[in-house]
Amino acid sequence: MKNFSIILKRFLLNKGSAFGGIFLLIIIIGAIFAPLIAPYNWNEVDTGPRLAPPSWDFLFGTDIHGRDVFSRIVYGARYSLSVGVISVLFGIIAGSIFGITIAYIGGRVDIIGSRIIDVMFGFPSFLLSLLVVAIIGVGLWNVVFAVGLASIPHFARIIRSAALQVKEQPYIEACVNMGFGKIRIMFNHILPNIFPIIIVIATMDLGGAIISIASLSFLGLGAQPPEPEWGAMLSSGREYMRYAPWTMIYPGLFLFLTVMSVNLLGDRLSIALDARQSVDKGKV
Amino acid sequence: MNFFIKKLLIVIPTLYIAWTVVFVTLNIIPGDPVNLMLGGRPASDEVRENVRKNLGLDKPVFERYTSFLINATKGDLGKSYLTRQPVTTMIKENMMPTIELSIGGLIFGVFFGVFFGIFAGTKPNSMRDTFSMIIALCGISLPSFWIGMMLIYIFGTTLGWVPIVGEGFVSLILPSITVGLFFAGGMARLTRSSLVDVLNQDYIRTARSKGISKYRIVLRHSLRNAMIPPVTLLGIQFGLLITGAVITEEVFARPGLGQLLLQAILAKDIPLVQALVVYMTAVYIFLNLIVDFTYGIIDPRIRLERNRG
Amino acid sequence: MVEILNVSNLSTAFQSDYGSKQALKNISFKINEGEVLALVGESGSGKTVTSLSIMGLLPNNAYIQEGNINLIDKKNNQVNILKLTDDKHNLIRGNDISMVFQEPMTCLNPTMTIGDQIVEVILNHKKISKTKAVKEMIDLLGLVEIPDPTQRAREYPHQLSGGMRQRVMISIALACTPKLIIADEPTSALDVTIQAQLLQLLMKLKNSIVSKTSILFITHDLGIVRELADRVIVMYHGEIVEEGQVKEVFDNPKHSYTRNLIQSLPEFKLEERKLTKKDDNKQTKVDDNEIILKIENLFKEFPVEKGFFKESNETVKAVQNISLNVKKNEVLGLVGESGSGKSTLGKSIIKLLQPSRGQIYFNNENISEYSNKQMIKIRQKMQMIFQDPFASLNPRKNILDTLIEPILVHNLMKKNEAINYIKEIINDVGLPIESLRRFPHEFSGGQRQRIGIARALVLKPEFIVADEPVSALDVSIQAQVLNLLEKLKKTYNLTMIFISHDLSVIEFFCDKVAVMYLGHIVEIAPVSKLFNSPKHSYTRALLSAVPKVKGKNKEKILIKGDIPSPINPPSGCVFRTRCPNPGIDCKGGNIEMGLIEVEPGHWVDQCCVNCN
Repeated sequence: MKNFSIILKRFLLNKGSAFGGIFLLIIIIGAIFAPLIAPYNWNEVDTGPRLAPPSWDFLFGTDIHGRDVFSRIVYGARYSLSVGVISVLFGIIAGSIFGITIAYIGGRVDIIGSRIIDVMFGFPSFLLSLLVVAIIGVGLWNVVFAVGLASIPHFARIIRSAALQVKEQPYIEACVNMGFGKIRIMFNHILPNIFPIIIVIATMDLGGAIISIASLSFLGLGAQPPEPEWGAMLSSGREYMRYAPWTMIYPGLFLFLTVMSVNLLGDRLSIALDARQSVDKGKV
Repeated sequence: MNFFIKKLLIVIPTLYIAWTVVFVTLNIIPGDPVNLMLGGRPASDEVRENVRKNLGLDKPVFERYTSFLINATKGDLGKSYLTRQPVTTMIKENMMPTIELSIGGLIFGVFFGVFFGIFAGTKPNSMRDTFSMIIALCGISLPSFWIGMMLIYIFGTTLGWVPIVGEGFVSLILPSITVGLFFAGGMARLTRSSLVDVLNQDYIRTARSKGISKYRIVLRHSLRNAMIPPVTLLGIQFGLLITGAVITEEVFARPGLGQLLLQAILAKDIPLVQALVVYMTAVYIFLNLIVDFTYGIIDPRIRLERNRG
Repeated sequence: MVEILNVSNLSTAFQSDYGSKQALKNISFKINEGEVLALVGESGSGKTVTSLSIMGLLPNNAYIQEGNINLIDKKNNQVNILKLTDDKHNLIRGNDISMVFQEPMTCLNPTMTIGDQIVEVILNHKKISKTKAVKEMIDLLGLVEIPDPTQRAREYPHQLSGGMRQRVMISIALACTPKLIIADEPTSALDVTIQAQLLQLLMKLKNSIVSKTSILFITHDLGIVRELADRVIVMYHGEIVEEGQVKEVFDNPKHSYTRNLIQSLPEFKLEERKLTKKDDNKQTKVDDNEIILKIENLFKEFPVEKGFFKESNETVKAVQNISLNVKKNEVLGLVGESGSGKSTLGKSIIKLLQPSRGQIYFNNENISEYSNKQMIKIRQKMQMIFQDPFASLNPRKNILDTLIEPILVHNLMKKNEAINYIKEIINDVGLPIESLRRFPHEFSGGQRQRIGIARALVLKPEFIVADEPVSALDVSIQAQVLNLLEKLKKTYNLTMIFISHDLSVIEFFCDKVAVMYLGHIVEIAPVSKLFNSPKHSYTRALLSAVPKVKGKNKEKILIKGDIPSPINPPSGCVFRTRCPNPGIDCKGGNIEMGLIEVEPGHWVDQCCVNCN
């Protein structure tokens, strides 16, 4: 019985990560080869009847302008994934540099740095994104920047505490004792040891970033029509929900599945990281 | 008591810096607010100057900044560019629906989050654990604006069980779920992992060596210790209520602070944005303060630490 | 002899991702009523798994393959523990068999008062009222000699010291007067003087209140076995290799593993060395004229809490007014319990920590005010060996990278030269050349420590601080690493400061010893003088507290109480609160501390000289 549950658990876990991986792969391939996969031009008006229900000709139906929803979703994958990745990359790189630097230098620098993080935490991150959009204006790339910026304190805080832990390790003391410079210790010794954590939190955050960007687009602050960004598609599909629910259901479903796949991979990565850490500590 | 004062000493500068950031950033927005006021109508220089004076824009930035801070502490946050009403009145008028929605979302999120977390965490790697965690994963992966629309479509339009518009408790159900779903998912995941972690601690082994029943071990020895991380999360997640308010109010076409903020941003109504951000950060910081106090009740280590210094 | 527990043909295995691993191989033994049975072995020998199998507390990934564990319970019924359901087992746990665990810091619930935790076990097994249970709890706390029990019962575990917590654990184990108490390394995490107090308490209880209770005492410390146990079982890789009366096993070990284990103890090696007169050989090389390191009035204090708004006035007084010299090729031992400041002193000397005050002269150069930049040249000459072999190597770098980086950073050699040089060193520390391509997690603790030593050597230092270099290792590995260090010391012409809490290791390895207590050196002397005629009361207590395998057990000099906090050390002589015979001035805290020379090279704190 015990063996069975262990096997079952592994199966489900692997199934989960396999599901996430495969779905994500499909989305990425779809995004890259969008012109080959999409049956119609994403922006061509009246490719079919307006608000036509799903059929073999129009897999996910058509929208109010008679555009093919499926084609728009395929092209939309290009936006949703890449904007998410870019905003997380921006946040994590800035957060890592900031976090590692204040943690390693310590003393006053750390106190002031942590204080800055705390104050930025005083703003709920979505509010911070909204505020940034209010300042720099509406638009997809502005939203990407805003979401990335708002995630910096979160990343910086986690990375700072991870770096602090590594800093206390004797092997870092050994580096100091060997006479290594600050930059070398920070980026050649501390960074590689917290890199797995960075990867995991970045992946874990990617889902949230995708949702935030889509949400802002939905609110009309990000991608503007006719761009086929999923959040923006939902925003326009919303008006016809009663008569043509497919214009709202399918873009949302893809958004949901993409985010879930990313989150699944994040979970799997963090489990693998735990295992890796216990190997490093010689527990296995 | 000592701790309380110490905490307040941290809150005040945080608020001050936060408000300063708001003021500075919002005052560097390109574009002349006077144009907004006039709604694009052509006007003579004299009229423009009058409007400018009315808005207090003729004063130097530093003076505006100090009067902003002084007025903010008094609760006077200026007048909206668009409606010419005092912004505090506008906030007051729109406050109640948002508070109702937040409380609804909070109750939904905490209840289901903690329930599924404990359900899964007490028996890790079992079927019920897997089941609960799949639900929680969906919770954090569902875009709230989409699930809100789906709920309206399924329960309102198709099934007709719940009124889509209207007031009262029933109309609060779907919006509360929309706000609380992400919250519940995160809560469930953290409660589970924290419980699993606690159940692996040495002191649980000690408790088992005393011959105490499993039921009592979970109830008496694990839950209190396991709730410390979820309570921390609660503090950070209050921010989600603001997200929830903005999106859910838009989806369900409910009046509230979220709608007000969105309109203000789209219209570049600076005093209103400023006031809403000031108000929301204050509430957020205040709620986090309450969470900080809750810690002490749960964890005697923190409580005693505080009493000492 | 009534037999209360009979373990027969017990096999236990762990299930992991890489298949199953046998932890216990068909072991059988029995415990008689009222006896103390010791279970000894090194890490991984299966001692803890044995105890957890009896308690039914094995982790989820472990399972019992076969065997029986029969217990005669309080009602004189024979029960097979392995056949019990968890609910039935709960009637036995804490009642017929109870357990004291190793980690006093983590094994009590942090959110429950200690009183509640004791009352809980009483109410769980006895049908008595809450008030009565509370009364019993207070009595128990008195029994394990916790001062002021009513007050203490209301406190939380983190308010108590490690020794006190372990007393609480013992009172929980005693609460229902069980038939058997399993004590799994109950004193290993504690300081020697605290350990001595606890062992004495255990024996006292054993001889009075619970004379019929048997104790299964699990330990790696052969000295404790000798002092405490009636019978001993030696385990190795999940098997019992030897079993017998303690005296018999120690005087005449039958199995080669047992023999080896006993002979790798430093006390035995010391004796061996005395017999072969290698001792003289060791002393000759110290150069009396050349002082490599000179320290004057060194202080190191840490602020307790760095708030944003208020700088706390409280400081941890880790190192207080320390002066000493280290001569060329000499090994100075620093010994002390936790909180004595020995590690802080070691790190301050090589400036891994910036000292608060005082002078450090290295080769007559005052380095105490040197900045990190200025230190870079000096660091080549002074290196460190760290305690924890698992944490002291960067897990993401292979051994070659770890060893070559310092050479390249300091521009000592070209890359090709450096590789050849590293091959020599890795050979010197007794590792194969292939090790260079591997990562730290592929090595055992002892091998990692050899790598740590190699790293300390690559820059060709003159002076090394070794901070508890063998404390994390098993006895037999400890002996190998000590031998290696001894050999390298000669070949590389090293001067060393050797930090340890283990007196026998110090006696084996050092030329001169400084005893530290709460940041002060209380006694410093050549090794033979210190061990044969200690002058300071603390040194005496420390020496007598160590359980010895050889020789007669001398009367213990117990010192009472816990080590005071280094944040608020006693005024005047810091030892006065625990001193067995303090003078009147000393008690009042009126005597300044300071070393005086009682005979050539033997310095003792003046307070203690006056008191005696």
